[in-house]
Amino acid sequence: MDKTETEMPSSISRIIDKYKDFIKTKDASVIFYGLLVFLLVITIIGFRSQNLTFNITLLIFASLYIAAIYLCISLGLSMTYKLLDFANFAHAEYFIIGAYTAIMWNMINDYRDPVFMDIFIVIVLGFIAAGLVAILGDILVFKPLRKLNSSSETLMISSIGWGIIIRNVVSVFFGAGVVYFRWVETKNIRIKSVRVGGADFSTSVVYGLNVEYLIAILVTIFMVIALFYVLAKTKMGKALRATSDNISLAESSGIKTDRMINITWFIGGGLAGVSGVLFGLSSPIFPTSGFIYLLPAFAVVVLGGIGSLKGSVVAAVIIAFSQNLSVSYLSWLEGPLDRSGLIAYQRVLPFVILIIVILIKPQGLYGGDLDE
Amino acid sequence: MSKLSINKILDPIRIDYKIASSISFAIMILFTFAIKNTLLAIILNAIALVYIYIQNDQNYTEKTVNNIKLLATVTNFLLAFIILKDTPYSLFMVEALLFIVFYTLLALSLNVGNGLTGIVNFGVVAQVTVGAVVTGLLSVRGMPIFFAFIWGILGAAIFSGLIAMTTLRLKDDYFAIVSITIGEIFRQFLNTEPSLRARPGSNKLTTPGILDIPQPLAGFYNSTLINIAFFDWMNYRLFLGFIGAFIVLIALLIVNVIYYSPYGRLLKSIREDELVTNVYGKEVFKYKVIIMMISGLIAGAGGAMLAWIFLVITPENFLPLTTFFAWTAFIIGGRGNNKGMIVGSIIFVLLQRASRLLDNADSLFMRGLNSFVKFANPEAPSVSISYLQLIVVGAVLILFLRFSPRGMLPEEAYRPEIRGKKLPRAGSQAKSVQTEELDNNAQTNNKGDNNL
Repeated sequence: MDKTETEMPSSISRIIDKYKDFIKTKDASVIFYGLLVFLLVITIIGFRSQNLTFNITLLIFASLYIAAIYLCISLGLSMTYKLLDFANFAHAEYFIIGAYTAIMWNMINDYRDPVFMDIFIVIVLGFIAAGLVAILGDILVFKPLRKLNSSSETLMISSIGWGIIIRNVVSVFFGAGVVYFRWVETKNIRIKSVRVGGADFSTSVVYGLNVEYLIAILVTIFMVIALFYVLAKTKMGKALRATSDNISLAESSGIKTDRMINITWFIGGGLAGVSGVLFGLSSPIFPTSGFIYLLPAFAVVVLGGIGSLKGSVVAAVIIAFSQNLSVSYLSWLEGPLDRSGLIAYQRVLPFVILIIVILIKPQGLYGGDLDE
Repeated sequence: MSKLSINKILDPIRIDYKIASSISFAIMILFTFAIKNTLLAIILNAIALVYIYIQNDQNYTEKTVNNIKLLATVTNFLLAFIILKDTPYSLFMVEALLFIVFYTLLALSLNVGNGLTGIVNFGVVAQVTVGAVVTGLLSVRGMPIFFAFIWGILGAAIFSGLIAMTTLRLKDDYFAIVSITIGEIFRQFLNTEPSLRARPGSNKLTTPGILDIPQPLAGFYNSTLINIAFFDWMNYRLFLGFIGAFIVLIALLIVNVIYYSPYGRLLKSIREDELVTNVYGKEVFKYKVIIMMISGLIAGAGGAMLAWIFLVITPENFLPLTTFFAWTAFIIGGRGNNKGMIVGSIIFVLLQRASRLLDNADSLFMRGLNSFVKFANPEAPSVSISYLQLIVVGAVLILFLRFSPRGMLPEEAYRPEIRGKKLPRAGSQAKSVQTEELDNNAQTNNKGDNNL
């Protein structure tokens, strides 16, 4: 067995040693400030060439909307990740359960113009449907595997399988095509928007803000406050936090941990379902649209710190804003680089953030537990 | 657990493996020629095969049982192949062979990474992408296909090594997330980068993808040498399948050498307990990086195979679903068993593709399902069989993880040789003298207790 060590090419081990040193010396703050300086330089160059423009109002509302969607998915993902110690790749499928519940409600009512009340009914229905599917998944798939003391690897693979089952059951009933939540007409609120950059440095144009965007942002803020209140103030919230902190200790002090696990799945799945409803109100829905939001949600969870809800809120806002900011930069860079289609890379940005965070600071911004 | 209960039911009619397999062949041939219902014959054959699997005779060692299972599966597949060659299903079988080759390569790559070393690699599709794109691009630009293939697999290996050096220090689940993310980033690259679009003669394409990828040994095949000399039913797809099978053989050889060497035992110790291996002075990280490179080599060969199967590479070929399929074949086959990868991918591909044979809108099952769906959602389009396929694959994977996590061909326990003799495996009926003595001692002790 000792032979194998001497047979190793020395050049490879030297490269690895150099890499080790790099990992030891690097500092998260150095890279962060370096990036900031780089962005500043790029921005100044862009403004001077008079092609870089930011629509501040659009940026704020679009980012908050995307942050709301990311946040609602990642809250539940973060909670179950902390509690059961595995990455649930099926979590994004609870998102489409919510979205299709909204469409079902729309269909049952013969596509009449949804009144204000309808939206709240749909949100509640989406929450319940997705939460129940999440509990069903735990009963059918994860609980038996947990009882066998399976590794987190096994749980992850089975979660991918469970996600594929949900996605295709939805496809059986609705087809793989695009489905819309049918408003009679889209409603806009006209507000003045501020533009920075471009040929004339500061101009204002009228920007039509979708009512759906506003609803999504407000509902998410309400849900996050409610969740924080439940976790911090109620008895059930205390039990939930205790269970996620140390499951055997919680059980020995009289908390019914099985029930707490079910409640966590219900809340987590339900939140993802609500984000699906909110997304479906303004965008076309198809069965694979859940997966598109899975990896950004993981980016939010990891950046915020697994199990830290406060971290998730901050991380969702950071990732959504950087994603929307990158659109301006990428569309400007298409000129100097003489090529088109660069905007598509805005999809990649959360992935890049995810990888950088995992490499530099794997515990995330707030690596803590649920009570933060 | 389930296996045991079925075993008890079948116990009175227990027969030898050879008899069971010959009965299955006989049933199959009978149904094919007499009743002319090929599908029924295949299903009955599969049932007979399952019966062979359930037979778990204690007189055979684990290795012999595994070998019989492998032999039974492969011969049954080949037999089905030969029987179906003049029927409309022959095309189906050829395509199945191609995909069996593809998934065997991916599963072997996973077996080196996860089955042997314990790396949770969810980025198989990223390695496949590199292999496919490099092979495709170079051969489209005019490089001989053999060298393009070599560069493709080397590229995939180097890429996997780089990824491993950066991210393999992470916890298992973090590495899984990162590897699945890298696959998605690569797909996005393929979607947007103009330099990754090509076809022979022109480098400017408006749609993503590499088109008209030349296939290996096509000139040799077209020289009619093989057409005259061999079978009249040989077509190029089948020939490609044989090339793929050759690549699988080489990969299997490499993996087997690693598996049964002292190096392989070291890797197994990393799988079982990384910390202990580290404490014993082995550089775990270094070994993991090398193993990721070898797994990249094999998955890259799978990617080249994919490019040759489809002739066209588009981003849609590299969905994360491919990774999931590779994991399914790997787990059905039995993690840690190289022979199992062949069995696993045969079962997986037939499971996945056989449902296409049922794709008949007039059948009772489809009519019933369609009416049920129409009842729930009047606007629903008619059900496509591909959704049902995926549901079945997902369910089978979960059932395997739940009831048979060791897979069809479980990993054979390593038995060291002492003075030229192999030690008996744990739990076997052929007990050594020492253990029998121990048993006797235990019995006498028990008796003594009772007397007290």
